[in-house]
Amino acid sequence: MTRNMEHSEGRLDLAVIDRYLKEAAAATRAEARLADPHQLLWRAELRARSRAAERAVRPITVFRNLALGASAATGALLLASGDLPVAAALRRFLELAPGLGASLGISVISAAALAALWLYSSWAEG
Amino acid sequence: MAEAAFCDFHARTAPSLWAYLVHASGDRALADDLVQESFLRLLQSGFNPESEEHRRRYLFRIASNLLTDHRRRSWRTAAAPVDELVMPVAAAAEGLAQDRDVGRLLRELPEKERRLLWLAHVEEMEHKEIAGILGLRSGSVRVLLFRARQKLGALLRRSGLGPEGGV
Repeated sequence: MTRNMEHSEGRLDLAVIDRYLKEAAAATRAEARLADPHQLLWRAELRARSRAAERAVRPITVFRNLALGASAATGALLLASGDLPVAAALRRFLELAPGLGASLGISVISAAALAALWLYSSWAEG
Repeated sequence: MAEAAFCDFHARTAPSLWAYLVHASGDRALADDLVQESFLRLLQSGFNPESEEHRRRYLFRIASNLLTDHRRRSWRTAAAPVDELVMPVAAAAEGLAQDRDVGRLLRELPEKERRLLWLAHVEEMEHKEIAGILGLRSGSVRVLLFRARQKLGALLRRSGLGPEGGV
């Protein structure tokens, strides 16, 4: 009997909950201030155009970044191989101060890593 | 989606979606933004369902995901004041008082439970549909909904608005 009473109480609760929520919903719906659907359609079209433009430009952005990365890598290689007057001057300077060699190497590696990171982030954004 | 069809769908669905978001989030301005964004995402998705009901459920799912994303981004999760849920001025005095109570009592529940109760009772969705919208398992929905109902029932009784309160 107790179980039956609990059951019927639960059903009563359910009915009350249902009624209250529906009343609240009806009252809230009545106050809804909604955007003009035509405006939404227009905004959706603008977004679609904007995304299409972004997609069209993305390969250019990626290749530009690749080119910049390749230039940086080539520059670093030329400096390291020593075929440029600047590289020769740098080597002479390093001979005067041998301790700087290691730190310069670390700097070059760090710069390359930063360039790679920047390249990757540009590509990810694109 | 054709313009006329979209306008009809918007007129039929937007008020319900707005009400859901107002009560789920407790923030009218946020509900305004999320309703617009949900419809925009729906349009962008190119989703072409077999029925309007299916489209409606998809829209509620988008809105729920947007609200969840907003909560994740925002460090401020505190609920808006009860006044955010002020009901229509035209409502009868008794109904107005009751609606305010519902708003107040709902606000005492966690957001997830408010969403569950709303989708189950107001939108009359099945457990499976609610699970799809809220990203839960059907079995979990059953249990969570039961607990949410118990809590709201207890709150209603305690406030004199339950069965013993003569409502």
